[in-house]
Amino acid sequence: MIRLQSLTYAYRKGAPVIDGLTVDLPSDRRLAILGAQQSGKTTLVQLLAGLITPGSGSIERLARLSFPAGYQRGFRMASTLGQNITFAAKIYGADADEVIGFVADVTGLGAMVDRPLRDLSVQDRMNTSFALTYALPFDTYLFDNTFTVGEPDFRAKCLAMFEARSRTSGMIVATKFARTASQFCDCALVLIKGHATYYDDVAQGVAAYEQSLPVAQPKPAAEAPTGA
Amino acid sequence: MSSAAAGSGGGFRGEVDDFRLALVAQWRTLVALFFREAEMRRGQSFAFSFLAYALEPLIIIATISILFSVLGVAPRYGSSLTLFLATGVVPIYMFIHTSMRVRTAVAPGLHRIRYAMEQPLDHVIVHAALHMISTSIMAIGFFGSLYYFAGVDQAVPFEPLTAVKASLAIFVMGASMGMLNAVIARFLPIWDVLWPAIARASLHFSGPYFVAAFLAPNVRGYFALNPILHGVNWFRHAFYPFYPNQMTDHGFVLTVGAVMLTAALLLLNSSVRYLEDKE
Repeated sequence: MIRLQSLTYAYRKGAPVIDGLTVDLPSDRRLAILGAQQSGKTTLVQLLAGLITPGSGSIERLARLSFPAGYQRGFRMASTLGQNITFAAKIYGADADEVIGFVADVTGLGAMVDRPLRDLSVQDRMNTSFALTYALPFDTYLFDNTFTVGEPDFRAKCLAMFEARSRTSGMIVATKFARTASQFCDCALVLIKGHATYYDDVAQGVAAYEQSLPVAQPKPAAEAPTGA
Repeated sequence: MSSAAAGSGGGFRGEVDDFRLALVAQWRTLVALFFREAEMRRGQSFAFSFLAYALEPLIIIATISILFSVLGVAPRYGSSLTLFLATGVVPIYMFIHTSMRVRTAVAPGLHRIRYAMEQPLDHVIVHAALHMISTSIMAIGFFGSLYYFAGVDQAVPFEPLTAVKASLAIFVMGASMGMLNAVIARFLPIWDVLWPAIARASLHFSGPYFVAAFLAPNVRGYFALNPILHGVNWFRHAFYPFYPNQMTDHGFVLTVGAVMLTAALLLLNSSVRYLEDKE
């Protein structure tokens, strides 16, 4: 369970992106955070992850929440791939060797473990960050717009890891695509103009979301099935 | 500080379990940060980099010793000029470098380049601890070398515990000043340039070359306002059992340290959101 109490967040000199949000979110289900562009999805995911501080209100996390999948800002370019993975594993209470082995296996970067992260290509770093997310044990995994990345074979691995993790953990997927929510989630939080409504049934949430979309906006039917 | 997972049940027992889990998570984060930061300096990775800070006071002691020897300046107290200078420069640099190192721990944009488990105060604690360790290694090595290789008997503290207490008191002031610097610099960016200059200039007013108690009475009152000078005198008592103690007010040093620490923690905590917005 994640309890949001009067949660408000505004960027400097701007209107609140999240405005007085009070809701209990399940941490053990597949929750879609549905919202149009600029509706505050990323802000809410960052707030849930603890990466930014609420302007007011509080978040009570009764579960271990991940960082957003693919998060790379904890990396240090001068440190080796192995050191970066070890650091993340240690602070999140995982066995470093196991995590390194998992990431090396999934990404095929075993030979690069002792090389500085800056020597890896952008794509390899991205793959590493996704593999690292799935390698660490969280009660709830956070996804901001995407849960796969890279080449088709790596995307397939990500989907397999997503399915495997979702059997034992909760998933929170922020997306603007109704189809992604319908396909991968079973409940929804719909964000409209800084306000949010929770739907225990994702179909109801998707219907409310689609109703809120401007008529001129193209139907979100052409998105990739992975939510990327 | 780092947040930890909860949810291990309700009631008092559940709360105790949650608290224990939080402590474990906090310890894990601090240990992981400690070993990572020990190998990093300004974003670059190299082993024992944290010892680099210890070189400056050694260079200062060496150059002033050589200069004063050439000029024929006698030590103001004791028989060894180098020891007298070192017992002033080491604690002063403990303050200067701790304040600078802790400032870098709360670097601009830190919240953008961290995991959620790493909080600013974790970085402060780790950087302060690393600096304390590196300064201690440097000080023990230096005073030990003076004793063994230069034959300066007084280089082994007469009261080691006094040296530790004085160092800790100065360390707390340095760490607090570092946190205050982090907050001040967000409101006044030029502070990052001004503070190192101010801190190094303050070296000359904190008693490395003179005995504060021997100052003229008309200026002694002004010097007595400098808590670092009191800390230096406190530190020197560990080496010189009969060092003049007219300007060694332990209560003043501890009070200033406690006030600075409280103010620093309050300001750091209350300005987190503002600092995020500024970046």
